[in-house]
Amino acid sequence: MSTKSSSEDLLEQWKESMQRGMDAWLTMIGQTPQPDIYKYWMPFFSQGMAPLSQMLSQDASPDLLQIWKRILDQGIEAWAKALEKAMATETFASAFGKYMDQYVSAVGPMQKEMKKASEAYLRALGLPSRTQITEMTSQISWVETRIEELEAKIEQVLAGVASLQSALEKGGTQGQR
Amino acid sequence: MAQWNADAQQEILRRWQEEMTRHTKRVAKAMELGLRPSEPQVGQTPRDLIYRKGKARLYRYRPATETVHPVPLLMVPNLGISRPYIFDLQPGNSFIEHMVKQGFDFYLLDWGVFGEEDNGLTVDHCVVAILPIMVKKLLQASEASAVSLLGYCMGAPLSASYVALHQESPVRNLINMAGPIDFEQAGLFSTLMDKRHFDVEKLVDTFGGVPADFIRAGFKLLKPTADLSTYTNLWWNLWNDHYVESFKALNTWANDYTPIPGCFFKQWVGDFYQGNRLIKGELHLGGRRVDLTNIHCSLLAVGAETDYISPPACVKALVDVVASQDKEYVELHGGHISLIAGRKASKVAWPEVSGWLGPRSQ
Repeated sequence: MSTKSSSEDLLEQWKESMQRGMDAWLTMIGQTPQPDIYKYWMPFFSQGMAPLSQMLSQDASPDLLQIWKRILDQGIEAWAKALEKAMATETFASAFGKYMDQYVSAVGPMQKEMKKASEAYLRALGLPSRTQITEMTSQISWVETRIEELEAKIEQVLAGVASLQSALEKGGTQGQR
Repeated sequence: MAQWNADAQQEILRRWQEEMTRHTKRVAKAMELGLRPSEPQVGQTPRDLIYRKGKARLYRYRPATETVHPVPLLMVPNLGISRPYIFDLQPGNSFIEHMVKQGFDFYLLDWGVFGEEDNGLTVDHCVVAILPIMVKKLLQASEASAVSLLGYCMGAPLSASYVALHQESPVRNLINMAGPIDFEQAGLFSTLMDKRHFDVEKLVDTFGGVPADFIRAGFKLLKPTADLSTYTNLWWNLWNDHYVESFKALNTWANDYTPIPGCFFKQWVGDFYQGNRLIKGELHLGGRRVDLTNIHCSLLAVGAETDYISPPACVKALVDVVASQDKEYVELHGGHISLIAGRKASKVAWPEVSGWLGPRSQ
């Protein structure tokens, strides 16, 4: 019983240390220039592993594995929440936007050149290029749309004919009466 | 005292043995997964193709009950990003199977997997051309006079826009499952896609569309601990065959990203996320203004407490803006996906939806 409560105490200690780590991490996010993240999270992890090894040395019960899993889940959850908070900041959004802009600026021209080269290669081999296939599928899609429109119009005309026919039949029946 | 000690020791020994057996099974299963990976069977509920328009397909699921509710149900999922087989993952873990067993005449709109040739597809075309024809074909196939729409995620604002624009359409009920409506409250995505930081025009002009790898990277970035958590849980439950089978199916889906057509994405980000035009009544589709106050049908909005893609407040907004008299908002435990797949969904979210819709489908 006492072993279990000591395990629970250690779990509380772990959670506290985790919270301290999170606070430090969140404070760091708001700072510019960005400091070395490893400097912060490595001691945090070392701090977290200490109670686990202490627990393992005190109690050999398989319950420890459950506790370990709980610790792990809570750790991941805490990290997820901390990262979520960090990502919701303007600093992160701005950094993300800049990264995206740089990525698109770098990859865009490269991709265009690669596309040009592969199209020239395929043309030389007498094979259709991706652009040509795309154009062809677009044309097929356009033809499909036209057929659908015609179908819809035919349906409308048929519906009109049917209503006209029933109106005529009704008129005929009334005339006979 | 000596007896108690001996019993306690026996118990600890027994539990260690149990744990060791589980561990042996874990190792064996890990080797099996690594050496003989097998594709999970997904989407097994029997269905028929009713209609196709471009890449879009309308499927009707075969009834599992003697009689079906007179008002059929059309499910409108997200366009691009992921595949719709999440709604019919595996027997026993399938939203569609659940609804069919509850007596619904169930139809699914599959937007399809887009390629470069679809980069000209717009939100306008989806709402004023594809959705109307799908509803029409559904009504013809079912010979019903009314229909219910269920929009999931991005499918919800598209469905709501369709209902608001087509007041002549016989939509009896509308369900918004985890669909963003007020994009100012859309959490992380709103912040990251803010026009001060995110240049959607440049992205689309460069790539034509949004490649699947790009979408994968975006989602991994938003939830960097997701994989760690997934694989930790997998390791923990590797001894459990049932868990592993479900994991394989869900994990296959979770990594099966699909591209978003360029013009659609530009409009989606510009009008919905950056302009928040839907809720403001400033969105124009097909040359007409989308006014959500034109929605009068019965409405159910379902939000998930920890949904980081469509936080509860941005889902609930639909209930506050429509003119419907019969409207309800329900907030459930879990996240975006746990509304639609998994044990919690089958126990809580699905019965919530079928329980609300059943009496309104008569």
